[in-house]
Amino acid sequence: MNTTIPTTTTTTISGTYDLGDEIPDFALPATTGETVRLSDYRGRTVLMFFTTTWCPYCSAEAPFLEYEIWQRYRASGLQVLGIQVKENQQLAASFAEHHGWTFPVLVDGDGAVSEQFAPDKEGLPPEVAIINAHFIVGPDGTVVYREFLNMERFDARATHVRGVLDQLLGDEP
Amino acid sequence: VIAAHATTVLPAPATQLEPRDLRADDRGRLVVTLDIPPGVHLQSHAPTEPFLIPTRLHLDPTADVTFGSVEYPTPHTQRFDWTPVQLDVYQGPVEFVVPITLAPTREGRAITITGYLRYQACTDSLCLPPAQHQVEAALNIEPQMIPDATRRGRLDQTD
Repeated sequence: MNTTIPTTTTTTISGTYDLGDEIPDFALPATTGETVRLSDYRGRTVLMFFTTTWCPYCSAEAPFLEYEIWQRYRASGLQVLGIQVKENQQLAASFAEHHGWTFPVLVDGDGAVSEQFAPDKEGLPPEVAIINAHFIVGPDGTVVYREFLNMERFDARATHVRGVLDQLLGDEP
Repeated sequence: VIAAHATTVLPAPATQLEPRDLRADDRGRLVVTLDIPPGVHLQSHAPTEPFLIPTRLHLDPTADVTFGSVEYPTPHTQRFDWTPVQLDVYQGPVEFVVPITLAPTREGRAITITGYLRYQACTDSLCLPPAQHQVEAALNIEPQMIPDATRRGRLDQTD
């Protein structure tokens, strides 16, 4: 399998986990009530994406994360985790239900976990800088891919992520 | 290029009372103007997609003024490259108009209408969290003009 993963196009990032970094374990409540830990998925490839309910980009991307990422790659061992940044549980649950999300959606109410992933972007608050970011964590818990919002490349169909997953998990199932 | 922080993307809204010299029991309107910079748009008061934050003008209730329904500007329907759906947005200078009626009073006084404008803005490169700006309009209420007939009737009652 070809495991050459394209690196992010954002080159001015600091203050976030880099490729190869091990992500420290964290725990967040899911919209369904239970507590979910990143370590629950150790041994699997995990795609984490950071989102909010008020963000138009997030709404545009939402169906594709379910149907073109989660539904396509779950059989290949992928776990998708949505992380709602600074949202309340009820709103996050409504958003997930509206978009038909069937993967776990975690609620980072105070943004403390998300901040650890946020790039330093010209003074933007972390809860803004992290929106629409994708992190792929390998089975060993290290970052194998990350992408931050870049409007020149933003693709609501998330085709760039699919390309990476094809390389990590094998071609499209 | 990231444009700016949420609190500095938009200038504070301006307010104007029309007409300027309102008297008690008069009707007029409060006009709130927001000058949205180029490259920035706001979700309209009735977004086309669920969960998007509508622009809303809220005025604090006061015994001195009765507010009518806010007349929101007509949004632009626009399709952006990054979404398959069309969005209704505000761009450029926009006005929010509120009909007002001053309470009857025989004594003039100065009051301040207060409230806030809540919105969610996006630049060409990112979207910013919902924000709100304070809205204030100072108003000197001139004493009510009492028609002679009314005044005479009241004087008769006191005799």
